[in-house]
Amino acid sequence: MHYIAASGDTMSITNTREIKLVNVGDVTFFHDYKTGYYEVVLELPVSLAVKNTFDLEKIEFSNGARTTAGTGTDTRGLVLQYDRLYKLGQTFFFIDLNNTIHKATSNNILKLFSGHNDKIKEYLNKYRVNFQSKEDLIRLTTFCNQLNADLKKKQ
Amino acid sequence: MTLRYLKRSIILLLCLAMDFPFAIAQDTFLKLPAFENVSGVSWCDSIYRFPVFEKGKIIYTSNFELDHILNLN
Repeated sequence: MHYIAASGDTMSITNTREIKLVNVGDVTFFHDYKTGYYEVVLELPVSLAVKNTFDLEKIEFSNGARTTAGTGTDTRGLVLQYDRLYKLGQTFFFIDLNNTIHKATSNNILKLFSGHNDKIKEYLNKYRVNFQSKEDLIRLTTFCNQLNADLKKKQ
Repeated sequence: MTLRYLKRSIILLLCLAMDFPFAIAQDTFLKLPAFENVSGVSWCDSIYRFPVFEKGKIIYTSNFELDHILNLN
């Protein structure tokens, strides 16, 4: 996370241990000291968040030619020329009321809403939820939170 | 029957030899050339979530909020 300082320089936020949330424009980011920032996609008692990552996908070796001064033909231990290919990745997570982060999986959603396992299993079977799809997860998270809300109303 | 399999095998081998793009829809990769710093490549701003820095706020674990509005990205 970067900010523009009064001097106009782009600075990095430090002392992140104490940061809980960051609002940028209309978007809220949940912060976990150990794992970083999570963009909140859906804010409910159990929220849905996405972690945007910059993943190293491939290293392309071009040749073993040395670029620094050296002698002989032995290239062992020297840095070789290579290109790196990155890809923007997204991983989805649930954030519970205790601000604990759980990877978006069917097991985790069943654990988080353990009182409604039958209905959630039925939903998962019926709609074949893709846990990498933002739209599918928004619908699933809304459905599960609604189950809890309905139960509270009845009580 | 055998001839049909043979034909298919030849076509498949030709496709493999020509590096035929079986999967047309591929992910977009960002290439960082060898010994290049990320600040020197054209896509360096792609690492930001927003196209421009936007007004934002920081909220701390103690629920303390800075009054100062920052331009964040």
